[in-house]
Amino acid sequence: MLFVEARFLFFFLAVFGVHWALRSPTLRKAWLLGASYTFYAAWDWRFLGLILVSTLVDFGVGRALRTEQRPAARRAWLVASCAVNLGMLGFFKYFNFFIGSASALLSTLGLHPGDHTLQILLPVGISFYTFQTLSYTIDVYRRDLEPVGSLLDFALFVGFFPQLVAGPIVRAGHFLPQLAKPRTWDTVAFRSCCTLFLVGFIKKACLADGVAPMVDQVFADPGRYDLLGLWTGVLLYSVQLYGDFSGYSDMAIATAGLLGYHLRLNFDFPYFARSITDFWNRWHISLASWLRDYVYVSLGGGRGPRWAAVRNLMITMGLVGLWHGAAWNFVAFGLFHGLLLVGHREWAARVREGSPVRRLFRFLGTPLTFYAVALSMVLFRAEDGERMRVLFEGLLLGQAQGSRGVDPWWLVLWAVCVLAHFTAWKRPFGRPDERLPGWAYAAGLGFAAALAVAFMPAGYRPFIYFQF
Amino acid sequence: MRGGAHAALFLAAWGLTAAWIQDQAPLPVVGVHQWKFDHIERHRDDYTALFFGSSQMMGAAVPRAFDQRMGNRGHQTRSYNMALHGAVFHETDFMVREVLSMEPANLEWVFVELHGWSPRIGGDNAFTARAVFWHSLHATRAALRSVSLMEAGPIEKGGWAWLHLRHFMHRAGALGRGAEWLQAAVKDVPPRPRREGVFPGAAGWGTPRQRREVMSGRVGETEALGGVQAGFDEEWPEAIDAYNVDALADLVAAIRAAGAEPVFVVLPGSRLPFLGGLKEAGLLPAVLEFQDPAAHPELFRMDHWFDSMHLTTDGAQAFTVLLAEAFATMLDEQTGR
Repeated sequence: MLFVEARFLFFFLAVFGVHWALRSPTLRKAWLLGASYTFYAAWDWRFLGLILVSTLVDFGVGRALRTEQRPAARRAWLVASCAVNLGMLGFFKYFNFFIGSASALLSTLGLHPGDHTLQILLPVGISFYTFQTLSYTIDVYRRDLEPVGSLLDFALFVGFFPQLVAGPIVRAGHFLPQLAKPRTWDTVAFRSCCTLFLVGFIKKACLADGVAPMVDQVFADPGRYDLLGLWTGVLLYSVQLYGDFSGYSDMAIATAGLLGYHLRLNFDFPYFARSITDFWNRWHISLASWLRDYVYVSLGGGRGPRWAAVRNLMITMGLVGLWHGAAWNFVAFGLFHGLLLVGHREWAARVREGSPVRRLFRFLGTPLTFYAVALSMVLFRAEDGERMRVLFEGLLLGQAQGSRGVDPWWLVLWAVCVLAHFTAWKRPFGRPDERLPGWAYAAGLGFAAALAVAFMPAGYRPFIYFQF
Repeated sequence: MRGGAHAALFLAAWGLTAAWIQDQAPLPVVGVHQWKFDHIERHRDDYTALFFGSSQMMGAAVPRAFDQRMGNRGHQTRSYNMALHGAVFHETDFMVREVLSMEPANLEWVFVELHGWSPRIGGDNAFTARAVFWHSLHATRAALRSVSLMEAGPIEKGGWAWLHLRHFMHRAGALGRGAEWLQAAVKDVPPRPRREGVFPGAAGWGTPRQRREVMSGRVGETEALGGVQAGFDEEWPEAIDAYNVDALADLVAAIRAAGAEPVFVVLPGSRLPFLGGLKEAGLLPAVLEFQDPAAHPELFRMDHWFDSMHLTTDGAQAFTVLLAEAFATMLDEQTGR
């Protein structure tokens, strides 16, 4: 069930109506939990068991950590939680990747280990809820968070349907306190949530899905396109990836908001970042901050000798890549960004504030950062090494192999997206939707919704981030 | 109270905007629909007879041959084949109404193939723009009634009802029509054809394997087409029921209101267990039947059949001649010639 499908609308209206009709906070939470599991079961009910295992294990570990004071025992509980959660994640998402990679390595050494990969389905959202439950256990272990006493609250934290299958990755410290307090309608920013949902819908259904066919064509056969065609494909992919994922995040945040729960921002206009460091403070914030807090800091962060900081950064960014998918191109994507971050850090340490170079980069920072990010998307999206080579030769060296152009209207569309994105960032008109009288807002929303639906391509595309 | 009013306003704005886009947008591009509708819209006053129905009618009625034979019999007609492969009766009903809404000035005869009333849309067609296309309010209401009367369990019925409702919402919401509307408005060019998905008939009848086998002569036609026959038997249309009676009467009334006269055709190969009931109920003002091998042995020669449902080119010529003869005879009898 996708947020952009008609059946989600009916599902949500039912959930929303019953949720606010119920008086008892406990019944509301039970209703939301049931709805969340139903939502997940609509994908594949067989994988509900994994969520239940993850929920019960981390709830149990949390309770054990509440009473356990001995450091070694506490560490053992933490390891147990990590083993279960990462074990499930590793098996379902990375088993074939590691087996396949090992097999390929042995083959290059002249050994023939045979095919030991398994037919494994990737459970939707496993990367997201695994990180959520881990954050809870680690926070409790670090004594940053009090263990939750209610299994219902904890299960809802893990399974809350707006963010269950594609994030944002919710932190226990942010969400569990909300579950402890009864939700009231007067705290719901109804209008903002409706606007945000519509914006997310447009990003995903109209823009990301609208440009997808063109992107697919260019990345499927880059050798046929001229330089402008290759750049158009990459630029449109930047629209698709951002629109797809940030659109989902917007809809998730809005959906949660309409139910009285607050989820943190996941994208903060990342394409206007002035540096790659700034980019990672704005792109997939919930993942970047998770890995910063639980991996990078745990490894020592920026403390110690310079090489250690570089190592920690590269490990963290390698994991960012691996989180996105069990393939070497994703690892390369993460490491490429790691190198950019290391380079930026070194540059910032060497070039003093207020220098002419710094002033110049106040203007060049955004386009250069976008250029680097766009190039990295080739690593992210290219279907194999050969196509990646063709794309890089074209984009970096200007040596496009083909002569096929693309309709210039695609570039016009891209420019319109940039302009709209810039306007949304700078808000030169403030928030007109907040100033309108109720009737005008309702009519305007209906008009905009009709246009959005009319401009979505027929047929649904799954969200790109469902595969992660 | 105010919330309810705002919700109503929201829905009204949505509905009006969608209806406006639907109205302004060019005809949806759904393969063969597009050029048939385009043609009939440009030549709406040129034709006196139109054929509607499924692939059986589409491949069987040859307008030029029909007009020629009618002319030989002293009846001038100019006909056009509006039938579509894979059409269910609801779609045929929709097609007839769409064409009638164009108010064709000279239309006298509407030939409608009598075929299944099932609300089941063939597997590959179920989730296509083509399927969405015919889900007008009238057609959806009819399809839902048909679903309620079909012989199936509640889960299957619910699935079909949801499919039709979903398609109706897609159509009413003008889903995906915006680009076509904008393209036509800005560029003033017809929109590009949209993929219909896998659609039987696009490259001939039968499965590709069956086509290859028949064409290569490696197996006999009967052997190859046995698979088609078996598949057809599994999807045998629903029997006549109260809905079908109402729907048929409604269609007859609509055709007559447009100043034309319906002629129902039972094509060779059709097996309509409810035909007798329809006749007894007086619902078929004119019906021409070709399903009986004993009455029309020339139609049932092996070389006139591509598969168990569709005629070959020679078969279509033979059928069209017989159709024209039967129709001319009917006209002669009516006029006492």
